[in-house]
Amino acid sequence: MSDDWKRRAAELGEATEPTEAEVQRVDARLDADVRQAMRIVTEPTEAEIARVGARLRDARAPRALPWASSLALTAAAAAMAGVGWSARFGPVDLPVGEVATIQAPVSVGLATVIEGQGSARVLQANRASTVVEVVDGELTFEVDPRAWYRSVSVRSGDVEVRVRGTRFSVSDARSVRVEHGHVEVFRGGRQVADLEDGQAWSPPAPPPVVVRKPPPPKMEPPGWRPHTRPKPPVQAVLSPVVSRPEPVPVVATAPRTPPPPKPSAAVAFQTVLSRAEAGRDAGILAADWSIFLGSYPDAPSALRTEARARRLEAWLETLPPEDAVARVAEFLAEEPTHPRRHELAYAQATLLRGDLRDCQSALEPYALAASGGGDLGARAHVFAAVCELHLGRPEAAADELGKARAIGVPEDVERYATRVERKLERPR
Amino acid sequence: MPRPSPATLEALRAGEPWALEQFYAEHARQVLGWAIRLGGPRLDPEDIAQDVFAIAFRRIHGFRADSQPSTWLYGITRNVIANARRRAAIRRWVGLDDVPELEERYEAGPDALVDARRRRRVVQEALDTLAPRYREVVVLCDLEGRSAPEAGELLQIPAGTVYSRLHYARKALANALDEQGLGRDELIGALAAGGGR
Repeated sequence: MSDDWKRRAAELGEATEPTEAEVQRVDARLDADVRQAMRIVTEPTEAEIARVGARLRDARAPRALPWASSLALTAAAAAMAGVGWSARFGPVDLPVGEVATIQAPVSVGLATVIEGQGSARVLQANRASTVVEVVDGELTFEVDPRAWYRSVSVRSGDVEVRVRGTRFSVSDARSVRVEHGHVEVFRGGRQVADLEDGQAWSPPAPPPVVVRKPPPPKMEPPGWRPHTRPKPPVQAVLSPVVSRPEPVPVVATAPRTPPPPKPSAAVAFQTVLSRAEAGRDAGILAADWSIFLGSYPDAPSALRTEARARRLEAWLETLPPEDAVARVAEFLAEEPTHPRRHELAYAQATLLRGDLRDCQSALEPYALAASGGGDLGARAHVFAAVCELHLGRPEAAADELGKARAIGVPEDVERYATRVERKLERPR
Repeated sequence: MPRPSPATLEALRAGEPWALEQFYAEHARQVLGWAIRLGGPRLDPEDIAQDVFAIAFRRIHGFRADSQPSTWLYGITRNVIANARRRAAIRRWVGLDDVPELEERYEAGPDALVDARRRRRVVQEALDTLAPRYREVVVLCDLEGRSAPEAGELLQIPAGTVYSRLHYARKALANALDEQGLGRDELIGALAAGGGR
């Protein structure tokens, strides 16, 4: 583009023609890779596209107009079944507890049905989780990856599919196939499969009719198998086998052997810890820690406290900032001497200052983080200085910066310190 | 993007659901992309896109068969965004929306939990610092890969003007990204992390 520009500018003889050096400087800072990254970062998701489509089809949403005729049929069908759509502005939600006819695309709690038709019942829908039961038909759901920290489950009969990925479908045939991503399949409350790209699961055949070699006993008790898998990719797609006649490999079936004994709390703790070290998705990891805490109420208090701290770290990556900040505050109030209180306070302050833009509230956790000294303390002082400057207190900013300089400002936050210094030098 | 066939256009004008579905499927990504990139971090892109299509379907009778749908939709998108920005500004001005504005607007934080959503917002913030005429050319040419003549056609300005604006837009954008500490490496990191989502 820059060559084109120079050629065109030369042709036009513009007085504003940039110099060669200028063009090169800008091209180096905003090269093709950077532009490509910016394009990808701002690319709309399939979920967004489906949500807008759903809103346009919603006859009763204030903004929707043109697809009223097609939606009216759906709404009428739902009304005949004694069920109504909750038609408010924004993604359409189904009423909790009632069976409703669904025609894609439509939002169901935290998920969006992007394909298929059938009927479903929302069993739970709140900010943190959505549980949907597919009563009949075949529905393809998509979960925005931004919502991985939230739990989305789809049930059909006694099979439950827990997904934190992006796209999957479930039919009343109770078969699951994963094209991309990672899902966990539960049956009768027990985990029966852990599926990744290209894998599938279907229930075992009725026992007396077919004699076949049982699959190797690869499954461990729910939630406690060793985790060696890399972090799941963004897209998770489950497709029902029933509508796809092609043979699908069965990778796991429910074992008929009695469940192994529950591992000790220490073993369970180490299992979750190893998953964390293997790079498990933070949202799933938070759920793992919650399961640990729920399953081992009598575990040694040190283990439980550590599990809570680690769950908090996972939440910091995944919860909405205001929720994460509240959780950290709650934890620090209960565990004021926890060894990682400084790191947690620093993370809390970062969210307050960055996401919530609340410099005043960020100062207290920064002070706690700074009290730990060291590299983290210096960082906390630097950003406390940024906050003080923003709050119009240059003296306090200078004081914080002085403390950071005394410790030694880490290289990667030097630019923030320099910027504060520049502003302090500038007459206000 | 292909022009709709006469039959499809007829069906669109008649409000046939299949034609509306097809039209939406063909153009939704494009319109939502404009809404995200041109609308800035304070406007809901889904609201914008919904409004654009609602208006487009209402005015489909005015769409000429020899026109490019993308040019037509871009014009609508521009107006919808301009109106939404104006409304948002008025709401802030009269205190209906409390949007805190920090002097240090672009503090991603060196070790902050930079996720995809945040990256998108930061890029939006950077684009938002540009004047609309610069933002448009950088979005159309640099982010969407259009040639200057194509962008000129959408914007109804000569290609030479596009080139001229593009240079200043890039310079301003590079400065804005530097200002908020979102450097080249971090953006490239977004690619390595699997993109925006």
